[in-house]
Amino acid sequence: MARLPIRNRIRELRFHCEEMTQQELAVRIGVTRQTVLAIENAKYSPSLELAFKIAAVFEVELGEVFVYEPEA
Amino acid sequence: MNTLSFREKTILGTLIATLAVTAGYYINVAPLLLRGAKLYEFLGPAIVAVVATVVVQIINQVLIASTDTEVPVDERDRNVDLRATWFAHATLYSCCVLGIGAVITASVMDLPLLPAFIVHAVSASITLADIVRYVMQLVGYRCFL
Repeated sequence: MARLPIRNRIRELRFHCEEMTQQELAVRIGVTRQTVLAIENAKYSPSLELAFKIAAVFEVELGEVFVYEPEA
Repeated sequence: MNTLSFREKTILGTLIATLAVTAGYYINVAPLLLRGAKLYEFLGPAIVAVVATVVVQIINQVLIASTDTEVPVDERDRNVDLRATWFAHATLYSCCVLGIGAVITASVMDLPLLPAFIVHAVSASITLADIVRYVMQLVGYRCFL
């Protein structure tokens, strides 16, 4: 099964943000907890708008949340 | 993600209900189809199938709603639905092409084309497309997109 080329630091950023839960993040960005889980596990690539919302929640730049790592 | 979400439970329940009612219907009408029965002879089993589908769906929704809370639809849900609908459309399109080929073949070979057979072929195509859509929704939620 091919992996998405985009990695993220959402779990790490949640931990450093007063140990925010997946449900709390989901509510703040307007999606379900299952979607947050899928994004963290690199099983779903969020839309650009959703990616910016996630970055805004953690008050960091988009590149600090998501990293593009294409397979060689 | 070992537990099913509310939407996955709903889709799985709908899939099982569709399979059960469809299988039950076609097992019941198989003898009628094989002996070339008239279309009106299928009315009774068809009504039973429709009523059974509605009843099973109501029971399914009541059982799920009583044990879990519904969550709003987000972009991932829409994405999964869109991909599943694409597969369903491809299935229906393929069945239509096969159906046209079967009608042309039967016409060329001068084989009988009973209205009941044609109606059931179309109905089965639609049901198959629905089943493909439900399966692909479940696959979309569980696997890599």
